[in-house]
Amino acid sequence: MIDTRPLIVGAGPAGLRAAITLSDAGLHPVLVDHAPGIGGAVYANLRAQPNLTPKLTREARILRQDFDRVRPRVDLRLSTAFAAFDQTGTALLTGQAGMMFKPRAVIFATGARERIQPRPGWTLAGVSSAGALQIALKTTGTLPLGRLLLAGTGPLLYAIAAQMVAADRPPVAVIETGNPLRHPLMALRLPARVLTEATRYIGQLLLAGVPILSGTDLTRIETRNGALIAHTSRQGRWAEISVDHIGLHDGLARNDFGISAEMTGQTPVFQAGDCRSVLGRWAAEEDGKRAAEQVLHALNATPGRAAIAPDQRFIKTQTLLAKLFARAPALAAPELPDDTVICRCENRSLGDLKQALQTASEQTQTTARTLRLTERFGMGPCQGRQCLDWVAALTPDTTSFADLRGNRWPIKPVRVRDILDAPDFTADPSHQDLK
Amino acid sequence: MQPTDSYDLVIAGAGIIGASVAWHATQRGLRVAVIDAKGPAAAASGASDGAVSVASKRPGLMANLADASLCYAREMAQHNGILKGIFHPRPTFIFARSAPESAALDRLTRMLHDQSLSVSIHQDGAAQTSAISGLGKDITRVIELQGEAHMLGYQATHAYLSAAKCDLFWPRSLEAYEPGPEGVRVFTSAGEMNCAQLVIASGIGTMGLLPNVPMIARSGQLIVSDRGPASEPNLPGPLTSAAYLLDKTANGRGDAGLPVVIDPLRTGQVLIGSTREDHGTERQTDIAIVRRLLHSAVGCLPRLAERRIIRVFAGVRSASLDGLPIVGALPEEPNVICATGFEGDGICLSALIGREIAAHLATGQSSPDLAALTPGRFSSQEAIPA
Repeated sequence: MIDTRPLIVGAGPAGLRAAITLSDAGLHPVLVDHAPGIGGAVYANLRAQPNLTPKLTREARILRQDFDRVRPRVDLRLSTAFAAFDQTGTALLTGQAGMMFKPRAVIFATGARERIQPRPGWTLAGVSSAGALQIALKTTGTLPLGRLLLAGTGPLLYAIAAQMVAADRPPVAVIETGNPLRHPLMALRLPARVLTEATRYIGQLLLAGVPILSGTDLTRIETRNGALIAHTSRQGRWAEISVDHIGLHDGLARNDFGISAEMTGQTPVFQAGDCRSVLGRWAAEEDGKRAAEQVLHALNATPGRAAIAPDQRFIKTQTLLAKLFARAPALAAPELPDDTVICRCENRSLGDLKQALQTASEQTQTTARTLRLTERFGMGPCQGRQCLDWVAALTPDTTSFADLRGNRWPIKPVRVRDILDAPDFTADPSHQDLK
Repeated sequence: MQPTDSYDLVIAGAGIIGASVAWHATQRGLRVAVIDAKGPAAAASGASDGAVSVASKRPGLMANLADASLCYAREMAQHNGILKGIFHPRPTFIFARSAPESAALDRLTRMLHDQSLSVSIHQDGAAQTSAISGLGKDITRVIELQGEAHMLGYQATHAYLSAAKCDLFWPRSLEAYEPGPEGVRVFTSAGEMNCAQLVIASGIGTMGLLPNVPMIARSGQLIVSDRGPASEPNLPGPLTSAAYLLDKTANGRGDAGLPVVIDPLRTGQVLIGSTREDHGTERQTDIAIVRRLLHSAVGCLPRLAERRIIRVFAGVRSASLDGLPIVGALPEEPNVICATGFEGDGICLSALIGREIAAHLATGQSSPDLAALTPGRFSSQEAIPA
């Protein structure tokens, strides 16, 4: 059997809505997600452990109802990673329900990834991304023991802090680089549902007595007597906060690692939701529907329907949020001390990067390839997810993020055994020579 | 740089060959510029596994040249030589799983003996007697060689270029050249340069420039693993299928399937390679072929099944139609020297080729050993054997 069902990667709002739309049109997709349940990051409580009774938002409930309706017609493959899609049109899924097949269309709905700004001490044990804390809280109801601190910037920080309050584990403080509360008039221009949500989060934090230290940078983390010491700076005024765990979050970026559209051969490939443009969960659902319609159009399954441009409302909202949270003056990474680790996989520091650029400029320009091969940035198991943003930002004249990253697969490291174990549905089995 | 600038030597191509020529030429006092369309080690040199291998060469001339280059590189790695810390001696393990593969090991043994090469057989026996534990059950015989080495292409390129006192320009590609009585006018993507002599060492980039030098692009796919558990012993050297010898020493492609090489990197990672495909598409890797390579690799060394793959990549080797590199002055154009068509042997041959070309440039005398590699061999032939 040659399997050519369309593939949707990611079972968050964009992927689920795309699966619903395709199924309703009679095209039954394969929907893959590395998590053990649906929901993605934003609706992770859709896959909460049975002993938890999460309070679902209205959108999450409707999305689940709609998906439950088409569920029998969707080949949902959970705990399964999307590993690769090559120019011959072959897709490789690995893990619990891995397989190789030739989807006739692909929708990437891989969401956003968290940006974590390198700071001295950010690689210490007890420091994680704030998003990782949120997923753990939503799916297992647990958080690390002891005093928690959230630091960085962006709306998600407050959502996570409020969820911690609701779980009776309020953070010691929220350290916010920007000054979002200083521009109430600008904030009033946000759409009502965004404002309502934001007001609710801030209200919960104020009620619980969680200090929001805005205009404050977390400049350095160190360990002292078994605790983590967060060094903060607010316009040159220094302070220390002693905690047991720190969640960092410096905004979101498209999770488009290795999945750019140019990787394709003949197969139509679309991106949907935050992996195309970080516009949040409402936009993601609409975008999932749009991508599914594009697939139907590309496969001529429906009469011609032009692709709809992303909704300007969502773009305006995100632009406004970015302004609200902007740090003034912007923090420049070169201000960090030279021993700040940039690439934690290969243990390469800011000083290493500066020196490489310095040495290279004495002779000639360095290249993305040199930064990778010789300096090892982005060559470790995280494949540059953590560091390449910063390497690109620090070498604006030299390299771009796209050059540094390239389009290599696997998308994430994958076990050899899992690659070999995936059943092959790309060809007639009688023609296979892999025994 | 001003367009009026002139050099004794312009080298097109900052791969390992161009870099070695540059360093050797500056050692002889020549004023040298290196240009490259992309940057240092941007093509095959950067994508190579770094094996400095004599055993995999065709018996006769190629094995002799490889051995001479190996000995010279070994010298340059000693004391405060240019390749110190870059050229690492290590054992090589070649295994057989079938009678034809075992016969290939016998031929290898004879070649090493008959040609009095510096590479020697340390051990030859059943898989159980090998220094590598946990080999796959299909492996019937393993030869351990002493004398070969590992040298990553981009590191050697970097070392040569850093130490050569020469001007480096990229991105700047060679677009055309015009030999004249005064030397060679070089037309690049960033203007004109003048030089007494031009060396074209741009790998597959050479193909468009020298229409009379027939070449094919042969791509290869490689796989990089993670570091593996700390408890796992790192391989002491590469583990190569004898099928690889059959494939490489036969004229053109063998039908041995996908001969695998498992090459340990100093980081603890392993590089699994590599295919030989007659098309020139860089960066194109496909799942089915990578899976077959991995299948072969796990058959040889079952513990690799637990490693994670971090990335796969493809490189393109420039190959000549008769399987020999193309090195020497162009017919009718004594001031234009070409050095290409190494098809993966550039890492091993770079030391010798760099030295010999520099000697030729400085003295006008060329080594008789390299006579068979002259680009003139194609123009003198009516038909080119496929």
